[in-house]
Amino acid sequence: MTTTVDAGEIAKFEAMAAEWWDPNGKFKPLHMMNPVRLDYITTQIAGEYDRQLGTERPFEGLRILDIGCGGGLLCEPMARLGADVVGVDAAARNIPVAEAHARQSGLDIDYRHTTAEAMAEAGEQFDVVLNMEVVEHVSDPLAYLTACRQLLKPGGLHLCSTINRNPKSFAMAIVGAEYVMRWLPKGTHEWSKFITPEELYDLMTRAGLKPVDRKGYVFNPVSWKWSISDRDLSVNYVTAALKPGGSAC
Amino acid sequence: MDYDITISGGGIAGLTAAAAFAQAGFRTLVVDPAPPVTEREAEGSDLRSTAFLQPAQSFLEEVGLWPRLAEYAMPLQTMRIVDAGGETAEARAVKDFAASEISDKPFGWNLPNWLLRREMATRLGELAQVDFRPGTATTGLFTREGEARVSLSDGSRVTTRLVIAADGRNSPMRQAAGIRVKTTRFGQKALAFAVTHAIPHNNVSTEIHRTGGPFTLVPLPDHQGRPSSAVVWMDAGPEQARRMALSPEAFEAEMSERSCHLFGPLALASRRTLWPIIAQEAERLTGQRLALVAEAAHVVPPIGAQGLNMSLKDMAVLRDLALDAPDRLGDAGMLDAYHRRRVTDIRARVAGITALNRVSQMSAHPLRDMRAKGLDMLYSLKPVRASLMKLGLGASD
Repeated sequence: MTTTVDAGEIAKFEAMAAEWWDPNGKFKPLHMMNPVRLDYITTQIAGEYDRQLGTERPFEGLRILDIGCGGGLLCEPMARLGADVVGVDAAARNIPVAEAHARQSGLDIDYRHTTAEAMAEAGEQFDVVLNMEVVEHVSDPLAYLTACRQLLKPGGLHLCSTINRNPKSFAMAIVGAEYVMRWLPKGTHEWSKFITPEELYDLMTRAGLKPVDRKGYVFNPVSWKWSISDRDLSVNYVTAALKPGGSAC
Repeated sequence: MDYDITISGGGIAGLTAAAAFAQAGFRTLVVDPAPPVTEREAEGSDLRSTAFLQPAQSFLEEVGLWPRLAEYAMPLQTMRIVDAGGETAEARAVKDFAASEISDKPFGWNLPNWLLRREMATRLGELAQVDFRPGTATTGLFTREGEARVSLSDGSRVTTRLVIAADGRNSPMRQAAGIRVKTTRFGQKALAFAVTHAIPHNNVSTEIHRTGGPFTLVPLPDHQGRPSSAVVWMDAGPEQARRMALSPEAFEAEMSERSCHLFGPLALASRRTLWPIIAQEAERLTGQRLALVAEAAHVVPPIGAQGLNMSLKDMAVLRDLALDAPDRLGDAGMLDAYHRRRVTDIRARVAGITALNRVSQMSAHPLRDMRAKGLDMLYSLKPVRASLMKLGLGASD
């Protein structure tokens, strides 16, 4: 990174970070969903590597990659839990924003403007790859998931969430979230690129990963809260898969 | 995969489940935080008794446990209900249900719980497919679509296709899965102990209603040459605390009076133990890779021997589903089927026994009189009698 940082630039990035991290701001839907996302992620990592979540820094010694890190909403809790975290984002503007916030939080996180494919090419490897709400935005999901597999150590854990493709997900994610609630900018999602759980399992298997779990994130419009379900994968869902070849247990 | 089935809890329900699944050929692990107390006089021994009704006895027979238990089992030929709700503690209405009216078998067979634990643990020792680890608790549960990982107090972790939570009313596995319960409190406690008495019980189980809750004597084999019964005495919590503190002599005088002297003076033949009375049911009977059984799923007051008999039905349904499709053991389809097949019966029995217990708690005289009349009317009608008895047998499904 550059050493001649402009003070005005820093202030600008800090303002943008404040926007990323404002629970009622532009990224409100992410913030609302973040507790269930974190619950699933931390449970799966702890379950895979036999770590006790109640203890201090349970993820000490684990190297975690977050693809599409944005403002660092997942990287920071992972770092707090003791993991060695790398966050990458294809959007260059997110990197100094995430860095600014990590600095304010006193966390040491390695943020990079790069892609999963470039990281894989460089031979980087991780215990855990977090692949949250990215796969529905890429042009070649199979190539992308193959890069994700390459980024894992043998036996490593791949956590991937996305949005199902059916009339309900169209209504909820596009009409609801983008047009009615205006939670997301119009055009954030392209419904035809959404992937069903069966398709994602199939893609992951073809990419050389072994799918082991899928659960749904269910929004309850009465309690206005998200929860995790092992049955309802009709809109947002998340999967766990392992790279064969190692035993984490 | 380390085991097909991991059972959390080594009480009577857990040990029965272990015997049933191991005998059916599933690799089974059963763990319990405490080693089973298998001697009557030992500290912590469970002095309650369990009456196995006909379907439960058939199930024990099927899973190979009954041959070990038969010689200790006291057959129950008659259920007697006594109303003593008048001014003084005297029997004023007595109703008998003879098993012979509806069946050529007894209603049930009564066994002390400590002895059940001893014989069931011995039986597990004979089965190659089961690994019994007493002194080991379950400390964590992690589930995925295809398996569960159970953390144990010895620091190890086992992988398994199905976890059966038979770990009691405060089930750690149920809590780990985040399944909530609905609990009803009655402000009652049950004193459980054994007595000897001068007048033989003649294989009659006797339930005496007065106020605060029933006083029930269930036949046991003779103790030191004298007729013996297991007693469950339900009453308000503070009263029971007072009775726990009484000298044995004062306690004997009080319980003899409460029993309306139907069996002559009662003599204590064991320690007294105190148990809280609640009714409770789990919101769901399953979680991912997890089935709740017995008190982890449902708790009822000790009336009509319903608790453990419901539990054995849980076990029978789970075992049948497992045998129908062994490759689907523990998957969502199997667990949904388990929930569907058990939930209606469980809800109905928990509600029914809760209502019965409220009736037997009544302390106001007019209500007690109504109860006596109701008892009289109800039990005089032949069809009602037969269906009540069948219900008591656990035969209604």
